[in-house]
Amino acid sequence: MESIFIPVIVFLLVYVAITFELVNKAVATFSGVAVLVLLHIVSEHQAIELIDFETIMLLFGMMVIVSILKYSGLFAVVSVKIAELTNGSPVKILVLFSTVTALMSAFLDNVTTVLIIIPIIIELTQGLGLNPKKYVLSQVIISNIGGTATLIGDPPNVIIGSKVGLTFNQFILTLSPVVIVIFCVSLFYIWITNRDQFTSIKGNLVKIFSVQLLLEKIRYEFLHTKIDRRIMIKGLVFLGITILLFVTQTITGLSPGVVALSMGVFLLLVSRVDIEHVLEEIEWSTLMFFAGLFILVGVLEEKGVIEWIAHHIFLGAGDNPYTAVLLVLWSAGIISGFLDNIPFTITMIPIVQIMLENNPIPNNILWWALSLGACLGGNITIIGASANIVSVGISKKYGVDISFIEFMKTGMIISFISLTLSSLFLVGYLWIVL
Amino acid sequence: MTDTQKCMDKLFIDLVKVYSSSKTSIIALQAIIDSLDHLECSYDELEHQVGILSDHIKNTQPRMFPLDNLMILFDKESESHFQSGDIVSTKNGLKNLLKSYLERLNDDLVKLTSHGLKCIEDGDLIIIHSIEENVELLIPEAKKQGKIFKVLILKQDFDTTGHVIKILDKCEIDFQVIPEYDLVHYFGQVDKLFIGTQALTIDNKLICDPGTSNIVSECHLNKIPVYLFLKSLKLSHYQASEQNIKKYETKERHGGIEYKEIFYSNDIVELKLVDHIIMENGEISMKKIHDFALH
Repeated sequence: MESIFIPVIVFLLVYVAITFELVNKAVATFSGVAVLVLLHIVSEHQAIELIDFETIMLLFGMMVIVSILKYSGLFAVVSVKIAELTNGSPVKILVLFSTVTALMSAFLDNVTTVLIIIPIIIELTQGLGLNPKKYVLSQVIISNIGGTATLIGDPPNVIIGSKVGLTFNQFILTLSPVVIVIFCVSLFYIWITNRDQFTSIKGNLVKIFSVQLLLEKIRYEFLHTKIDRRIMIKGLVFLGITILLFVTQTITGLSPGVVALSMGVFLLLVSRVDIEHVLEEIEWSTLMFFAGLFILVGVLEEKGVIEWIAHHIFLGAGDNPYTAVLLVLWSAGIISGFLDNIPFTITMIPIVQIMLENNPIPNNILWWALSLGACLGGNITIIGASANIVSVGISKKYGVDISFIEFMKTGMIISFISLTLSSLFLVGYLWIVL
Repeated sequence: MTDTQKCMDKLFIDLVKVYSSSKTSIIALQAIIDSLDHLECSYDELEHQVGILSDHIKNTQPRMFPLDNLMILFDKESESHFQSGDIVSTKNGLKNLLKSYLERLNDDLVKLTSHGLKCIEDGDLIIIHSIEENVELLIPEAKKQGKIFKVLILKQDFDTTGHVIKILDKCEIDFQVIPEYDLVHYFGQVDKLFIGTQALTIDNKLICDPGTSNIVSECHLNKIPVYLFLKSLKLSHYQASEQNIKKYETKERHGGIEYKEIFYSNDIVELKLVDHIIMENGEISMKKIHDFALH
């Protein structure tokens, strides 16, 4: 009893610290791990074995590739090119930036995407005399939606893919159609509810002139860092090879973690970018956070706590597959809106595994429900996803304050729409395969 | 003041931080040409739209020269183009007029640079401070022509000084950066101060980047020759008090004390403190300078 009690208390305390940002997330999880090791609840060797290195390798490898691409100036060039393509049209700003944000967040991590997109969209909209809030909100929400489409797009997917062994192709082929529908419906919702923000400027010479000046300013601001085309080309080639190896995973037998890490290291070798610079860009605290969480959840799993939760909460709903799928989707969605979706996903994986043992649902539909819920539910509140917190922080630096309630007003409705569309998709899918 | 005017003012202020007022005017003229291409309106509306844009540009805070003068010229010279009855030919006429201003600006810059080159001698240590034509064109051209000199950059705000450094580094010009307030330690080593201006008002005041007045006064006291590079299109028909210099007020906090900080978009420098005035027509005496004004 005592051996269950302590890990549960430690886990809950860590969860509270993470949710309310009382301390750094990595510090919180590793403090929890340290307590468990010091109290002999888990040995240091067992703790290391509990870390899912497949996930850590995948995240680290992608961070190296993104860091080198960022160093080459690629993202600055892309941002300026999109800004030029919009020509100051509010609707084009919304649609083009959202499309790029969705694509970027599908193949890069969401935090990197918003770090690149948010400053330029604020500059662009403020320069045009538009209210940047709706544009910022739309990009954050779209980054969470876009990230849902692939194995590497959002941390919950990275974790599910690595722990369960789902391939890049399985993710993209199954989730991208529903993600595209959610993307279009969400954009339409943002447009229809803020039509006054998206009126055309084609008949206003003063505004068109301001746009031209603004584009010049943006070109200077975003392109004054050195653009290294040589490194950019190498980076893009390696990113292409990485995605190709993800897609051909079933042929090569190489796991995404091995692919990302090897390509990241080879790119470092070929690009000759200073390793110190790249290492500074790696989000070590995120990697530590993941490692610590794997240990904490692993201990709970070993002590039988996860099995207890699975039996008493999730299996208590009965063995109807439709109920199970919708229960996982909506509980993942709602909980991810208020708690960090990374620890939630790590906790849910063994629970879903137990659910599948008791009630085998075909075609990984329960995993897709977890993925859709955990990723899309992150849009409900500011604290639902890391990208939300980062975006609100950057916006504040630019003088754009987005309150918890303001975020929730848009985020909650779009999450509801997204989860409803996901429900239709999953129920339809289940109906076809059963 | 309308929100649109505020946005435009902010954009101009941001651009003149990193480009000379001439380069900013060139950017603005090209922006008007491009905007006319993108504008979708009826023929009857066109004149009204162009008039509003011209008014906005002439009322910026601070006033943008040489653009301000060019817009006054544009108002007069564009009148005849609004009688064609056809929107395409009117737009083309307006664009051609604007293109002629672009050519004039560029020609003036070439002439100014060519006269300015005579002011740089081998072995000179030249003080510069803000971004104007002397930094963007003259100093790089002197280096290209093989002149041997060094530059002492007086640090201003981060964006401006960063851009000055970038230009000089690109041209492989030998430079050193010091804080503006440390200039006193370099008297005896420096040979001349080069300044530009955004406008010369009719009451003989130069509208310059913040901090220029201190530097010019200090150089004047220490008998360091001050060279002003000025295009005739920068001769304003306003007094310094009408130049729309923007006043900023911000709330700051330090050591738990909250206080108000006030600063201005531009500095005002007395023309009499300048020793040499170089224009596109060569070196001009102070008395004759206003003969070159447009009005």
